Amino acid sequence: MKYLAKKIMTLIMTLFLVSVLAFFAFQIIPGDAVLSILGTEGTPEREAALREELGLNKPPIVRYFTWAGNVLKGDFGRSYRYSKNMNQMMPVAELIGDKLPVTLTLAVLSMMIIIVVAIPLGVFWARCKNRVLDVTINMGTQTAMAIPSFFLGVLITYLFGIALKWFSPGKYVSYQKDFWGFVRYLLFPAISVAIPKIAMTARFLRNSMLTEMHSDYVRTAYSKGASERRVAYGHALRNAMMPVVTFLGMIIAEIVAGSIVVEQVFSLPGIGKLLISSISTRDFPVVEILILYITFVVIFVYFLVDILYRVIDPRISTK
Amino acid sequence: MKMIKEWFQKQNKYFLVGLAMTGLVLVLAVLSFFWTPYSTTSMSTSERFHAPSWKHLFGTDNFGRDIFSRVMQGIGTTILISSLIVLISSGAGVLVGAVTGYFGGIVDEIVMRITDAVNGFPSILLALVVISIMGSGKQNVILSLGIVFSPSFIRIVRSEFIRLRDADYIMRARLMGVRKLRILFVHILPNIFSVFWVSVTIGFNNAILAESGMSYLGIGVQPPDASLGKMLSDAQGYLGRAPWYALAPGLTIVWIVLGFSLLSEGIRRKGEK
Amino acid sequence: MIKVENLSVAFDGPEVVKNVSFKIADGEILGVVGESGSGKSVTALTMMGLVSESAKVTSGKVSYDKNILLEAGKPRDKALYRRYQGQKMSMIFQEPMTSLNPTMKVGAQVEEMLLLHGEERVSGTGRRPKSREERREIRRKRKERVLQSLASVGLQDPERVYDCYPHQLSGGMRQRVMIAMAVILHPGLIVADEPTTALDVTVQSQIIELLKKINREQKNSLLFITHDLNLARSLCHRILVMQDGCIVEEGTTETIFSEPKGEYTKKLISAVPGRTDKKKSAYALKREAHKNGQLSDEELKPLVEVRELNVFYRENANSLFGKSIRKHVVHNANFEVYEGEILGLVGESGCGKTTLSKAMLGLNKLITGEVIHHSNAPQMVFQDPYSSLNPAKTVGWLLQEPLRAQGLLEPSKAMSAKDREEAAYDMLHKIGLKDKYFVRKPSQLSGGQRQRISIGQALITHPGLVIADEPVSALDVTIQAQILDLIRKLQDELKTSFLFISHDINVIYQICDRIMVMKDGKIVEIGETQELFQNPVDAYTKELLK
Repeated sequence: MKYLAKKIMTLIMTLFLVSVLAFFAFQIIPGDAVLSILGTEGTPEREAALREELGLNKPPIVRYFTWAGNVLKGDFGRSYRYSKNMNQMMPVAELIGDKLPVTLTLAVLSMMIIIVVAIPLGVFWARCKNRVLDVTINMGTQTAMAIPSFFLGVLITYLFGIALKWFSPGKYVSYQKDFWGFVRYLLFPAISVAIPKIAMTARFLRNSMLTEMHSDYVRTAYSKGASERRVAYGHALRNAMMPVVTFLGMIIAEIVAGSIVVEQVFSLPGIGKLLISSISTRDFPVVEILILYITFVVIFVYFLVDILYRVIDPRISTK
Repeated sequence: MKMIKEWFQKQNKYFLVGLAMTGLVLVLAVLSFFWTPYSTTSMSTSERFHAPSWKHLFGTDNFGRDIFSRVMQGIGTTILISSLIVLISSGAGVLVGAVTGYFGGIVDEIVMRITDAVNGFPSILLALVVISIMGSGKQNVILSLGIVFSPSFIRIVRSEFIRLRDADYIMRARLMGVRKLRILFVHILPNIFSVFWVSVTIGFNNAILAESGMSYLGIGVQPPDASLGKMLSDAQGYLGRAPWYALAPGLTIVWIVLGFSLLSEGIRRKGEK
Repeated sequence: MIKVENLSVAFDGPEVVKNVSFKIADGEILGVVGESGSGKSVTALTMMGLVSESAKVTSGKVSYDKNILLEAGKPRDKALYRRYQGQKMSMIFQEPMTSLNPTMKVGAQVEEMLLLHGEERVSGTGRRPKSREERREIRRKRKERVLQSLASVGLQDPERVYDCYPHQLSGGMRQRVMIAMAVILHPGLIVADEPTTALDVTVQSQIIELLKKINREQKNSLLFITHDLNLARSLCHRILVMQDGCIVEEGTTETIFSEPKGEYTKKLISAVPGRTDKKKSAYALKREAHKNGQLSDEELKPLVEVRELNVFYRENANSLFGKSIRKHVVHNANFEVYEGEILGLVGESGCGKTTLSKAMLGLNKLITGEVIHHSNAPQMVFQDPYSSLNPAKTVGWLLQEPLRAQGLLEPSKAMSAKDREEAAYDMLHKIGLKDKYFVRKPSQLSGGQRQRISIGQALITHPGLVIADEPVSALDVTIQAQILDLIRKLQDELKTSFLFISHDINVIYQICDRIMVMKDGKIVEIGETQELFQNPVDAYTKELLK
């Protein structure tokens, strides 16, 4: 219990720290928000009015606390760039809420593919006695990790989109219109995200398995007359999976935070794409919230993994 | 001559293949700063979209430029940038990691919290943020990725120093009255080399992938500097018409990273024998 | 019953086991004694079919009750071995902590032995269980058998132990679990590979007694592997002595000890420290002179004085969150160390010996009371020869570094590079190593050689006091004797005082002038060696020095 409290406090502290850093970092960036909103329609009076409205006249510290207070209340501010209709600026919450399902679905799909493929592959490779197969898998995983995700995306687009015509690249299907079409479309970006991570996970698991298979307790199990299969699945795998859990946690965090590059390749309207465009257009409110979201996701996932670890490792859970 | 042949035969396959691949890359990289088969900027409307041939090894692009020359240039840029990134981040890693790992205390706790928080972020995201503050371009890519990669080096060096700090022979060094700085860099540092080297190789590969990713997104290296990532993003629109335009830079990146990985694995296996 | 004929095993190179032949009769306890590298473990593992895949059996065969289990030239028959392993032959390993699956409950691990050998059938009929009640019944019976087995190896409260994980049990208890696992199916042969080496002395004898009991009751054969000749003597009917992969002597326990034939055997026996009369050291003579009034008080002044020393240890020292707990480890220590003496410090693990020595060296500043040194910086020799030398440096560097450091601290003692090198070579010879070792690295040296360098490093600055923390415990018996001789010789020459920590009372007897006994952080008794052994005062001392 005490440990839990400690961890939660760390989470909050880090979020606070990051929000402050991000906020003040953007104060340094050149570029006037007001000018970029009004663009060519600006007149000195309109600029002044807007500045007043947005509270840009106040000192930074005040602005930070106003902003932070609003966030805690649930008001995530309004985008400088996007407008809802003629006069209103788009609330950030709505903007993000629109894009979040895309990124999250992509993340879930990718994760499912990774787990389903990487774990059996890792175990199989660890137990594999055939030299040719061993080298093949080694080279295969090495190559998979050497392919940049955007290139993989391009290749998949070419192969499945243009050559095989299993999907139409660029013709994104919104989840609101056709859910399963949406999922089918996301399958290919998910594969692009998954492949290098499958390779990394399989390699990691294989190493972990091999280490366990050479440990003393495995020798004891053999001395009891256990078969190699029983030893691998009944003893080694359980112990080998534990560091893999942490490793997968890292990967989950990365994917959920937003697979920026893959979203760009497949033109998916997700968080990653939003982040890039907001930064280049200096849309600070959006950027702030996105950074907060990403930080939260990453730390939260690590936090979950840590708790999970403490539960499944009897060495820690029975202290 | 015979000795060289014997030496070659003794090495393991990973090492040889990796060496060959990396060797080619390095040669092209260095060469690119002095000479390319064609000028990388000269355009020619008559030569547009030529498929790979003996005249143009990788074909031509939509402006009629020779792709192979541009790829060469891209290799040079990528290798240079990645090396600098690794240099900066590993250097920071050693300095900060050694000191905080050995001495501990509040400073160490703070550094650890920061690196923990930063560690989970995908590097491109972080670099993005830094770039948005500093602007894009070659130097800023090096700087931002250098900063972004430092935390993982710091963590690794730090945990090694923590592990070795209480080793018997270090305790003895303290007993002998050896000065702290000397303990850090003369006694402990040589012993973390193998772990450190592994992270350097991983870091180098990640730097290449990150740099090309950023260039692909348009926030990395800017023209006239060449980058394989940028080439790929340019080529994406012509995928149906001229697939070689995209394949060339992409496969080159794979070649570089794969070659280096194989080389490292080869070296590791040599050490195991 | 078990026959091993002309067995030779090689790993990628020269043979590690060379033409080994022996028999184990039913119900016999056979001891295999040898130092590290003798091939004893490989022989046992090969017999059991557990040796790694890279091992090649280049000759010979292993048979159990006339059935051939293993034969040179034929690949290992894994299915055949699986029928024998656990049921007809089982093994007990040295390290119970790592030999048990850390994430599996201990009861389940013992039960696995039953599961592997067909305990799923309904008793009496041999058919598979059909109903839920039948399955439950079988499970219950199985658990009972396991509980019985746990009780039979001396574990109190088998129900509780059944549900424990290995890390929740003490070393002795874990080893008992391993033994329960090994005997539950009443195998004809049990192989025990150094089963007591990792345990405390008191627990060791309990385990030995347990093995004897099992042998009496179940009438199984026991192959007992050890490096400790005395231990073999207390347990085994017959003994084999192995050296460099060969059996160099064989015989009943009595004959081996009363009429050893081989050179090596004789060396082994004599190397074991016993309680024979020892030569009086220089210090001891001085002490006598003082007693007889021939030496004045000032001439026998202490080198180190420890007064009212309490030492604390802080856990969680570096955390921002969570309070750090201060543990009181050493209580009110009062003693002196005299010039030129070897003071022994005995006690069981956890009694505070290492904490005390760290405080005396100034490595632990959480103390009250004082430690007064009347000479220059004390040095230390560590137990583990493998972690006490910097793996990245050469021997020459290692010997010169203390001088370099000293020169910086005390400019008056600074030496030129040339002088340092000379002093290093000088010490190299003193510790019994030739010049060529100057450029070697620790990884190229044996345990004994490393320990010599450790000692050289400690003595090269001529400290007044050297604290040696179990300096020979990790070494083979014959090497032990050599190192102890070296310590005695150098001590005599340089007049350095030693605080000699050990758990091996025979070693302490041999080498120490005076002895301190420590228990639970308190010094229970101090006295001269002979006195203490003959007339111990404290009950704990009596128990320890038996």
